[in-house]
Amino acid sequence: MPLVRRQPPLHTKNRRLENGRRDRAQPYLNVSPAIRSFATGTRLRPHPAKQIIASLWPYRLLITNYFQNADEKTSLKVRYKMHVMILGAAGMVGRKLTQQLTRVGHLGRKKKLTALSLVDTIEPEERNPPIFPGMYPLQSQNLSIPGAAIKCAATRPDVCFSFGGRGLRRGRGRL
Amino acid sequence: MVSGEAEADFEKGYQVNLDGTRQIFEAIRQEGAKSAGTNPEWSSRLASPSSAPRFPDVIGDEFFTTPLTSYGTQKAMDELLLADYSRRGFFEGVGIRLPTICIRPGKAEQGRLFLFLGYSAGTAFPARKLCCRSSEEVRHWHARPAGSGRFFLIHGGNHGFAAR
Repeated sequence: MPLVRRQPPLHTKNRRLENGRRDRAQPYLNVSPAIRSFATGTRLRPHPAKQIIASLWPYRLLITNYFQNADEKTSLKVRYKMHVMILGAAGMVGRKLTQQLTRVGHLGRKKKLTALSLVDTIEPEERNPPIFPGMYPLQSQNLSIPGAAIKCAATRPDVCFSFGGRGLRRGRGRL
Repeated sequence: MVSGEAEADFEKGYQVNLDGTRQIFEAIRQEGAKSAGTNPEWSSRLASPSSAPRFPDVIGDEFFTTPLTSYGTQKAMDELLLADYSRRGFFEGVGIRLPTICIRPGKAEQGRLFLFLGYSAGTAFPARKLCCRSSEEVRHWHARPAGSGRFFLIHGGNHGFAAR
């Protein structure tokens, strides 16, 4: 006795399947693909876009880093050079501001710090290596002497922080 | 130069606090005539509007400054210079009136407010006996050293020089 396959309902009889064939004996043609794959035990093929995204998932960090670096190289906002000068950098507030600026690395949201000049009246006791390439060491300038301010302004900083010079007194110059 | 030292040495106070400020402003103005200028941010002090009998809750830019000390006078003159140079378009200056920064490390210096805030300094220097000369009802605005640089970072970030 030949094996009789169960026929699908009439309204789904000529529907084309995922493999391109018209298998009229395939059951569960009138239900969703997810239920059909569950009932028949076949694997449901995901959408092609989901397949591409899933294949790129192991490389997600490389991709995000690439686009971030590309943004830094090409963006006009980041390419803007920010030269910051701090007058009175060896004082208490000046040192705190220098530490915070070098730690944060930018002034405002999109103004990346590219150069930093430190000016004070005292001679530095020791010169630590600069934290980043654009950082200039502590310059000993007494701004109350005529001509000293012109030397500082000639470097053309974009922003100049001043902390009201401490005068001609001693101080701590470890910067 | 701090307040007590500026009060004790008149010439030195004006030389450092006023002449130095004007020279750096003038140098920036001359350099700004050649190319894109610099935007200074100047630290002022609460000593500049110090003689009002009662301060409002918020001291705005229009608050009339009547300092009672040489130090406050020098800081008020610095603010006027900064405002005038900014008005003339030589640069875009911002003057920030910092609160009293306490407690500064090391030996007590000649700042007058250091003894004024002796009660808080006593916690940092327990071995030294300090006397608070002000009453307990006195309200005073001060900030810690770690947060002092943050005032400049905040206002520097909001500065409108990014369009240059």
